[in-house]
Amino acid sequence: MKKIILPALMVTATILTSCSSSDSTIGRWFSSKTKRGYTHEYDPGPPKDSNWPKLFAETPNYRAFGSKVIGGRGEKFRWKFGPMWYRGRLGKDEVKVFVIGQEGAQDENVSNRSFTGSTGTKMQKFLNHIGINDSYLFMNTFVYTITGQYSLFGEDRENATKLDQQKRLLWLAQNENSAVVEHRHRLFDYAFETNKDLSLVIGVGTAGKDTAATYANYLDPKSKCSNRKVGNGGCLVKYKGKNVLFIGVPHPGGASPRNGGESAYTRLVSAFDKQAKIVLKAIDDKKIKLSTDKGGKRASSSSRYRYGNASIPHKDFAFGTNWRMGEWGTTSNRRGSHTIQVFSKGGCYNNGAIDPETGRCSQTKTDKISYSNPASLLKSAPKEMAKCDVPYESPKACTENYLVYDEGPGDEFGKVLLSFFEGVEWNAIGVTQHMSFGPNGFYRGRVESAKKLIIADQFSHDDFFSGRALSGEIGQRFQSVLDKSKDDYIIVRTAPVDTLDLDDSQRRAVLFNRDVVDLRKEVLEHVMENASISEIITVGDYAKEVGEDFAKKYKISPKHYSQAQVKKMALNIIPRKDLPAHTRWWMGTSGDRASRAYRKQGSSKVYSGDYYKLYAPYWATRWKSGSLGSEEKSSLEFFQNWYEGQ
Amino acid sequence: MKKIAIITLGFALLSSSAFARKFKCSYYETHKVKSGRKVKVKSQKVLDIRVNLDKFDGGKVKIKSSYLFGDKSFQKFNFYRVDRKNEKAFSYAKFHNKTPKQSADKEWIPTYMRFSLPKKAFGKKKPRSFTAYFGYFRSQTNFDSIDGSLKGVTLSEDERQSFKSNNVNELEYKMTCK
Repeated sequence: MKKIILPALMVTATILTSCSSSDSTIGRWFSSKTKRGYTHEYDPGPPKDSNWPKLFAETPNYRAFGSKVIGGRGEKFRWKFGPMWYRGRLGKDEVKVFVIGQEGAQDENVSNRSFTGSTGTKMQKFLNHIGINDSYLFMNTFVYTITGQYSLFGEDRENATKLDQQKRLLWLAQNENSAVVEHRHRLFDYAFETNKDLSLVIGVGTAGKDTAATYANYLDPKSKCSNRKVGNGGCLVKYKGKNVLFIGVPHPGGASPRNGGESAYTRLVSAFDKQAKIVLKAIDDKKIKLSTDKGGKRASSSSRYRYGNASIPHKDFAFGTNWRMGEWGTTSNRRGSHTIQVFSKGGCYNNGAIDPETGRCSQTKTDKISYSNPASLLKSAPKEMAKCDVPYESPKACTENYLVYDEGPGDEFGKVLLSFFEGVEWNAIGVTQHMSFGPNGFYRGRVESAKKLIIADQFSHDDFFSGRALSGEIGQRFQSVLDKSKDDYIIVRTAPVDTLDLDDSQRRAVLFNRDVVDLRKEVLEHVMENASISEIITVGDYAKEVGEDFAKKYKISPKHYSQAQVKKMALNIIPRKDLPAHTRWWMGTSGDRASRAYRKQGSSKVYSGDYYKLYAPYWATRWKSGSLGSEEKSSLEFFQNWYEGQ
Repeated sequence: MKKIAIITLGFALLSSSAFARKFKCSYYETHKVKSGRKVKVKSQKVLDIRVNLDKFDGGKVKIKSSYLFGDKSFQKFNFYRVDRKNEKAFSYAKFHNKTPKQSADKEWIPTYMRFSLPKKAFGKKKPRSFTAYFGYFRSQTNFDSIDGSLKGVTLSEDERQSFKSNNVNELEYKMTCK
């Protein structure tokens, strides 16, 4: 009997282990759960039945307004990659903690979400420490990055010109009559109105604390909140009968081993520790009601806060966002004002060389990589862009287009897609892309309403940044075929990873690998089962083979287009309905906008798996700031009266 | 004795000025635009740096960049030579906007800038052109305003490592200088 029981127990243990919390079998599909949640989870964007889409689309003309208020020559905001509006929950009663920063940086531009770089992962850790892993919303003082400094330091405080400029900037940033503040307060008001359990506000950095204090005083003038109070014991504000605690923390960036060293750093950690204790004590003392999130773990008010990073959950990003965003610290860097480079876990900030002895990124040596800078195929704005729109933002509220965006594949199809990516050991079968990037954008369109299924090869690296398939030049040209018909469509790529650097035999080895074939077939079958597909189209030679084989079962004869045929078609744009919320207008236009790094080996190019770059098109970088709207003019009048009275 | 002192001082002045150089450095953003069958390259100068640096003592640096400063005029700074361990091993001379005292005291400054150029640029035969690197790092918090009285925090190695990844708002440029 023992001889039977023991092996049986071992088999049971094996089955139980394989169904552990790291993987979850849901129906036919599996989706892996990591420290960042399930990989198929994503943020669909602002709910279309809420006020959020319109509020974001009503962002004032920061450039023109900033120039008029601050004066001088030169842009006051970095605008070419557009604004960054939020990160977190936008649904009703989903937010308990509201975090306010100064502005975003390049990681935020790539992910189109606030607080997704180094500061974001540090604040994520802070939230985890107080037991909040889901019910948060991040926003900023400015939706665009300012040029120059928010505060004045040292000798600059003696400089009359700089003092004057700073006075003007502070008016723009904090005066309730400023168009920037007025819009920001509308966003904040809506967050407060739609979240009854919102009881903690955290200002990050000087501007974040100023903004938190400004809003606290706006909500409750009796609170007499200030940057100083927020940064120390906090301000307790009464809002609709409940207490809301406003506190502040220093901005994590800016102190580094080369600047401030251990001393600045110790202060920073101490400050975070102190503020964490203030929050936890306020909860313990029932000054505020802040329940722990499900799955969250709240530290005790006596424990020391361990400073560091925590990865940002997948559910905070649009589907198709590369997985490096929010993984750990900063994962991209700017190259000039019109390009951003993203690096993998195997790469380095600013493509620093890896020190062979330590395995760490060098601060002084660089990895000599190059890029093929893609040419812009447009010289001016596409005709689809409304005259009231700007190329660096998603559609503004001047037309109904602000409601036109793709909310993602849905739960079921999302799992199906992720199964395709996660079911294969891509590097083992020849893919050179670093897997820390996750899947490339490899679907586009809508399953439920699709009449056409398009199976397409990869033709560009734009899908890496857009999060959607066929979004570069070939996709934009092919769009002319899709736009001719009223039928809706769903596009699926032959692989969810980058294979463009491989030669024909290598690419075949990947695309026709047994596992790849099986998993891709499951994706395509899911489409056929859930849509009323009457036509199958293939784009690209490998897609042709895939399509012909697949379509046999359905007795549909696929229509094929080769790359050469598509190249001759007129250039359209990728429609906004196919792209995630807040995709800037110039994305999915102008031909290819992305490139992959390579190293020269003699006359050959050896592509790096670690670096990709996004380029703003020339016509978009030349865009004039435009004129002020009536509300902005009215705000400017307030400013001029105020300034003259100083 | 006076004559010896004057001669020595004169020689010292001559020696130090022999290592002072003026350079103009630029960074251009390039865009490719297809026009018919041709691809045109459009360039925009986005960073203009004029330096007057002594190899050992540093000097004046004027920087024009609307993108960095929100102003189209030249901003003036003093830059100082950075002393590094194993300096002889480096082929580039590094300067930054921290004074020697600030460096020695490991003081934090709100906007930290650095500029590196090849040591051979200070040689007898000035190169026609060379590559230099400029870095700009802006803080969003006044670290001096953080309560320094908070003590008792002993940092773990993980915390020290996460500190090294504070790279927000860093902009680095590879420039061409003449």
